Amino acid sequence: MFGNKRAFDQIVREYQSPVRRFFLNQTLGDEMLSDDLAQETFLKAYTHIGQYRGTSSLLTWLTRIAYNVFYDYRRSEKVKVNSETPVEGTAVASASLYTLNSSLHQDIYQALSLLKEDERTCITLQLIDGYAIDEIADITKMPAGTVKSHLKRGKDKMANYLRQNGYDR
Amino acid sequence: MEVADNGFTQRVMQQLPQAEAYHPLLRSRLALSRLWTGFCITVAVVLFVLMRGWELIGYGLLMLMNNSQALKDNLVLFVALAVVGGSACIYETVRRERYSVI
Repeated sequence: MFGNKRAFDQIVREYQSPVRRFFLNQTLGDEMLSDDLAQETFLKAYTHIGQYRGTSSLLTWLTRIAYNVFYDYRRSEKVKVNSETPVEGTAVASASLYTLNSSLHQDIYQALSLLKEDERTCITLQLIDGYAIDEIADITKMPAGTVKSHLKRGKDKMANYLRQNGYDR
Repeated sequence: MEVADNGFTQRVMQQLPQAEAYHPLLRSRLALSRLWTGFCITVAVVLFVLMRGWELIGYGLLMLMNNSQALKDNLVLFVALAVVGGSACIYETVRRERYSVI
């Protein structure tokens, strides 16, 4: 597999969508940044493919790399993004291919922008990507209890925001 | 929801590094493999010259042509096929050599 570009081409083709979606959710729809980070994720996967043992699905392994790439990015950009302080009023990218000009998506991104980074990661991994709590803990290397706390707080914040914006029915 | 590829896969594939460029073990294995291939080719050329390989080939061809009218009539075609086939074999061998170590 190592160095087999044809096989890796198939992997990228098959998994580019969930990996890019993960980054779009984390960056609140910043398409260019998401693609850069997704590209870095696949390059890391390529150079470390020998470390994939098959104990989890390939997508989970890729998502773990993606999370680490985003974590590193966040650390390098910590002047701009402070994970301890919610980024109130963060501009949500408008021209994303994922938002599809839907006001619902815009509202969801807006609600996601109210969350702390870790809360957003847990929420999107569970509600959008469909991971179970133990899988999220495995990807993020957080204890399951911490993941549950982030999910609870994140869901409460999102529910409050969406309720205030007319999504209460 | 699916995110359309829009050339993303192609961009990633263009960015992939050559495996031997970042893995020292592969780099040394590839170098050894190339040395071995070079050694084999050198031995083959030396033997060909020492044993006057061209005479053997010429003799073989003459024998074949004496026994086969079809070969005699299409000698250029057969030689061209042999050259193309030989080149393809060499190309494939080098390619496989590369992928067998990575």
